[in-house]
Amino acid sequence: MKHLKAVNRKAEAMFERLDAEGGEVRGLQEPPPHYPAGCTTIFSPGWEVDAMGTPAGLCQPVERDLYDCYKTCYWPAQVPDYLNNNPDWHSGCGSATQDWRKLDLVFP
Amino acid sequence: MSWRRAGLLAATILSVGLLPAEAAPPADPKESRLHLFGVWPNRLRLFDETTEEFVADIALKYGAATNSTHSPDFSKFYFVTDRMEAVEIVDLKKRAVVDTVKLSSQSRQIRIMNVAVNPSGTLLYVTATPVVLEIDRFVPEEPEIFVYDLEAKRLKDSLKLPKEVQPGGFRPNIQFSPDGSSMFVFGRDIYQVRVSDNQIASTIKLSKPVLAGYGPMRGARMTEEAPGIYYGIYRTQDPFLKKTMLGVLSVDLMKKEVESFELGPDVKVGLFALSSDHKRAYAGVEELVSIDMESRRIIKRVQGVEQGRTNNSLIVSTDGGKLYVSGVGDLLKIYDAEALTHVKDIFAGGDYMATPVAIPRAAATSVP
Repeated sequence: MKHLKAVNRKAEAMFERLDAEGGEVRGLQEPPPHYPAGCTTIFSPGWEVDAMGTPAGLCQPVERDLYDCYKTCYWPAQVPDYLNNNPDWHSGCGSATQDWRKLDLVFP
Repeated sequence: MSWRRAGLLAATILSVGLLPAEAAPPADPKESRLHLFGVWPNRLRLFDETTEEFVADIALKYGAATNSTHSPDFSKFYFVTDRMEAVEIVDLKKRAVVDTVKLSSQSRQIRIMNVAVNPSGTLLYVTATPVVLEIDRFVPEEPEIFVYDLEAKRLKDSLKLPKEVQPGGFRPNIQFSPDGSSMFVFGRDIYQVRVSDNQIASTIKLSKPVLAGYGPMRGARMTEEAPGIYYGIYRTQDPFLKKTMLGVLSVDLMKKEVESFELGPDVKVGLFALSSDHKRAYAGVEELVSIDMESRRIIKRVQGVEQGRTNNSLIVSTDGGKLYVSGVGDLLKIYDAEALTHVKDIFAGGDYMATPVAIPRAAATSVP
């Protein structure tokens, strides 16, 4: 955070709080985990590539995997979060490979 | 990505014993089975092997199923629904949800990862992560096992597994011994935990090679082919030649026996299924192979079956003639078990939400 400079009162308050807590900034996944309001099950960055760093291991077509990512809140950054914020995202789309145009739009 | 749905992860294993084809009583090949699928948005579908059609639907109350378990006789299923906050108990013969279990409160959500039921069907063991919502974030607590009394319809107990137990995976898998006195937790090793005092009774070691000269072994998805008997495939790398080898392993939980045999150089397979007479096995599905369990050889291999992340369910028909591949997307793919050729696809009516389970016909129908 040392390369950042507070430019308003809220930012200054954040800096003051950080100083009071020891000045540390910790990643969300570090224990104890702190999940942003939306994800509660697991922290697993990735999804765009497979374990080998390529898209070859992803579902083909990729829509086959949408609901498995979605319904367990596994990758809430890449796919809307079913558990808390967007439970109806898929309600108009029974088959993601065929009806993906019917998926709802989500604006963060 | 398919690893995250793996039910059981076995890691390091080797033995010199036989893999007996007659270890478990085979299913009656004359009686075809039904397959129970969780399908978008909130239903279960029964697929009949005989007619190769979906023959019944069961509506869930609280949305998509994310995981399930069943009673030993397959008469009752326990599906995790309601955005991982409920367990719906389904009576297959009644084709209906007969009870629901919810543990969350307004300030503390209980996110249910997996469920297990004791053999008598009286206690539901719910593996869950409690989550407390603070002003700007969720703070998950340590995972717990909640013990719910299905007869008294109340929470009976909650427990944390002994520290030595390292359950593997996103959805830790717990299985009960037939007498209900122990639960087996699958992870790097398999831990037998006494129900009476929540202490480790024994450990089935999978994390270290049994014999010197073999490399560490990596496990794969294992499936219960008979009560307490699990089969799956494993891989190991020869420490000298650095060559990856493929093999078949079985674990008998009650006898605490682990047995395995090598098939040869690696093949692109992840799923394993055994025929009802236990004489033939199949693995797939990026490639598809058939395995003679008596001679312990791959007898047929077909490459280029599926690409990328493949399906997560492989079921052999009761008569041994067909292979059913599904679990991801919206298609049930049928292959000829002898030729390993694609026969046809059947539309499931929507995307799969829960991995299919093959069930005896008698458990799902009033007139067998």
